Amino acid sequence: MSISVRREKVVKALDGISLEIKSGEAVGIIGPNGAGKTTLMGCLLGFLNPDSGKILIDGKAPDSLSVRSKIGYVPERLSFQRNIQIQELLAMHYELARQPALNCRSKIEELLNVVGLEQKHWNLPIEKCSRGMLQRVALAQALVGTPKYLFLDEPTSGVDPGGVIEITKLLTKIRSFGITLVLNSHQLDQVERICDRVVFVRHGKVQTNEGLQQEGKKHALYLRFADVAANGGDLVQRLRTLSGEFGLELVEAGSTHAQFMVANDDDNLRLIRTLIDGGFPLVEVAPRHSKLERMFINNNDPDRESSL
Amino acid sequence: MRITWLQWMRSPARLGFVFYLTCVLPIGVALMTFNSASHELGLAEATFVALGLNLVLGAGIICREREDGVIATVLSRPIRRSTYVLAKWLALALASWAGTLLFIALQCLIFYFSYWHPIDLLLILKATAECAFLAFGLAATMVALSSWAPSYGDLVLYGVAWVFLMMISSFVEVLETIPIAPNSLMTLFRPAAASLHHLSEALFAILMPMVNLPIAHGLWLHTLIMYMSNLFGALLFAIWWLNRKEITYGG
Amino acid sequence: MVAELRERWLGASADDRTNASPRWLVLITVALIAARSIIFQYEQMHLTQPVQRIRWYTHEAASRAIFKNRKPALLFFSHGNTCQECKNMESDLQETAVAEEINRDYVPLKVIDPSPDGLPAPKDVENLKQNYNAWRIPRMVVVPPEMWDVPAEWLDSYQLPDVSPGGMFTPNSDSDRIPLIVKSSADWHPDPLKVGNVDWIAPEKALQRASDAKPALLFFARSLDRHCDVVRSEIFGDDEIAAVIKKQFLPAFVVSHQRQNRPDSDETKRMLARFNIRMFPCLIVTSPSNPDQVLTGFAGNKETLQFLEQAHN
Repeated sequence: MSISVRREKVVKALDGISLEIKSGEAVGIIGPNGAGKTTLMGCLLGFLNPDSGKILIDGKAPDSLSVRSKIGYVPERLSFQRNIQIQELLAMHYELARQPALNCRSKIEELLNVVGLEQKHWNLPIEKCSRGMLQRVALAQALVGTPKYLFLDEPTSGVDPGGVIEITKLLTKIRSFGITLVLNSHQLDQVERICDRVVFVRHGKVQTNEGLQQEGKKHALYLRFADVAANGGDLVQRLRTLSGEFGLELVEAGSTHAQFMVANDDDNLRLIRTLIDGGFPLVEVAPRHSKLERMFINNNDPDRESSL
Repeated sequence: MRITWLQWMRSPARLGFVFYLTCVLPIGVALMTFNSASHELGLAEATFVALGLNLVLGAGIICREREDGVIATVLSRPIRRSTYVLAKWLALALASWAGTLLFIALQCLIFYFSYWHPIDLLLILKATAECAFLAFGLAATMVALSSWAPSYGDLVLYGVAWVFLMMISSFVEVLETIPIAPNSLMTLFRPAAASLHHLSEALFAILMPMVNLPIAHGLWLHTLIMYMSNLFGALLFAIWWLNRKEITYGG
Repeated sequence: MVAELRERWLGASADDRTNASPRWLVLITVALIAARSIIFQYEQMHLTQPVQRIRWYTHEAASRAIFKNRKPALLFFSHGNTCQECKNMESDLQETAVAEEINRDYVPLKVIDPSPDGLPAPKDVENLKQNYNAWRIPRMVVVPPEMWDVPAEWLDSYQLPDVSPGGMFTPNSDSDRIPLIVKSSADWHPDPLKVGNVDWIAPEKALQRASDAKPALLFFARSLDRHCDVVRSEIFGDDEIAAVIKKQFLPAFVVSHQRQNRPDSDETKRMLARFNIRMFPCLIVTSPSNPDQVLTGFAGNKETLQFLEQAHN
């Protein structure tokens, strides 16, 4: 698709977005608030009309009946019909998705098991559900009719950390069914775990569109050492000597920690091996920021030095 | 349609209103209007029951779901927006007609057991048919207003339209009855009276789409065309408006 | 091919889109709106000269016809051709079946009030408007023969119902066409057996059975008389008074229609003459041996009770 959307006369919500999503792929859409991610999601679902450009899903417009029968959607705002129970809601979606009435009950129960909702809650009214339960219900209704494409808009918004982990596991499981996922989320580690590719949107434009397996730019590796006094020697001096000798880029050094710049896994391995062979009391190695965090920060402020 | 009915049945406020209109009101009407000498069943009030039920059940029927974002999950399904609108219309029309039938049935029962007098079946059929016309017509009006207005604005709009209608009618009455001197400025308003009269008639036909039975000879085609054009026009407007409306589903 | 045509024209849409309006609905609505416009144009063209099926009477001819045929009058108040609403209402009246019924069962009289055009209304038109409260025109009034030509002051507070078509609160209307029901004259001639809470009996019977212990109580009233109405409903509606009458008197109620174009029955005439009734309302207590006790004019509950106690004692 290649689209532009102007929301009000003075704001261009999306500007020349051009994307291709392959079947079976999981794509994460990230970006700062007001970047146009929600607008993009709306366009993909056929709820919003781009001013120019075209969106095609399986060669058809997103608001066509045949496409609608293949998609599932988890909204950011978990609003469902009031005064009905969870199973009734799913039965309604089952009927709307034009599924055969014969297996309705068993299919619904299967879905509720997949999303991990306890059986005792199946007949709970929607108003009495907690946020976590509503997210599961939303996932279950999105999975009604075995969709080919799943659109998730902030599926873990407002959920506690335990719930986030559960839902991430669930999405990974769903991913394994071969469903094409489009995930809009602020949970970067979730996106990193689930998605094959990530699209960074800022000011209505795509800033980055890359696979998560791609090599990134140079980034900082944080290292922690055991108490130097017990191990003897001036750590800082020793690290400086080592970096000069083996061509490693030392950025910062303290009495029990240091940061080196590395470009890839090979660099990581070389550094760690060198430090261990050199007798350094290395106890912890970790990147300063995750890959997506680095992408986020870099794209949000491209002028910032890659000292991160 | 089923889900809409289920929601209404489980809403205490709406259910309370419906119970009052269909079960409590017949008793009040019976006390005020029953007259064994003239065998007046008091079925004219059934019209107001149909009106009341349409307003109570139809308030926010589409606009509330749109404001809450509920409509997004529904419209993400392979369902046409027109189907959604027509389903809402049918649900509202059938529910208000059913409530009116219950009112009429209770009214007849109370009358029969009060006076032990046979009930005029033709009168009941007439009332039932008139209420059906009103239920379906007014449901179309409510759905049209609801597709356009913001949250519960459909009810407010309906009230405002009535006030506007009363104002126009009063103005027309004044223009047509007060003596106007031949050369005064008021004569300029005279031609407007006829147009305003037509406007008030058209507005009344939309706000209270009734067909009074029996239709006079030679007028049945005219009456039915007026009624059906209002009904289908309202439905088409509702569908057209919802079709062109972008669904904002975000937070 | 049939299935394809059906899907194309009656199916919701030939294409797949969820936001397409159903073709059948669009076609039907357009056709109905077109038909409606045609009807409106037709009405506009034909309203200026409504077909005259009703045989309107002049005022004098109407009065003669009403008394001769004892038919009710159907008064149609209009502003004439300059009033659209009046023309609409008249065209409703001129419908074949309606006009036939009006010609057969009523004496129709068209009263034109030209005042909106700045012209003065003739005196008889003003009198009729005043008599029948025709301040909102167009208006239709059905007048029973007994009420015709009755002085306006007698009609005060005896309002005839507005039987104009289309009125939402029109009593006894079956449709928004002309309600061809004359308001029952029973309203204007109250049933003597149902006045207040007293069980009235026939006057002759009361006089025959009257005794000194239980004298006859004769209540003389006339229709279209406000004071008599009040006595009927408030005095004889009082439970205490009704109980006293039931225990101590034989009550009879005589109503005279002298204020209406309706002759009194022979029995009423005899009773009025026998007791020389000149004023209404009038209460007379009569018994074989004692002189008649008379209470004329309006008296309140207390005075009436006192009168009854004195009369019995």
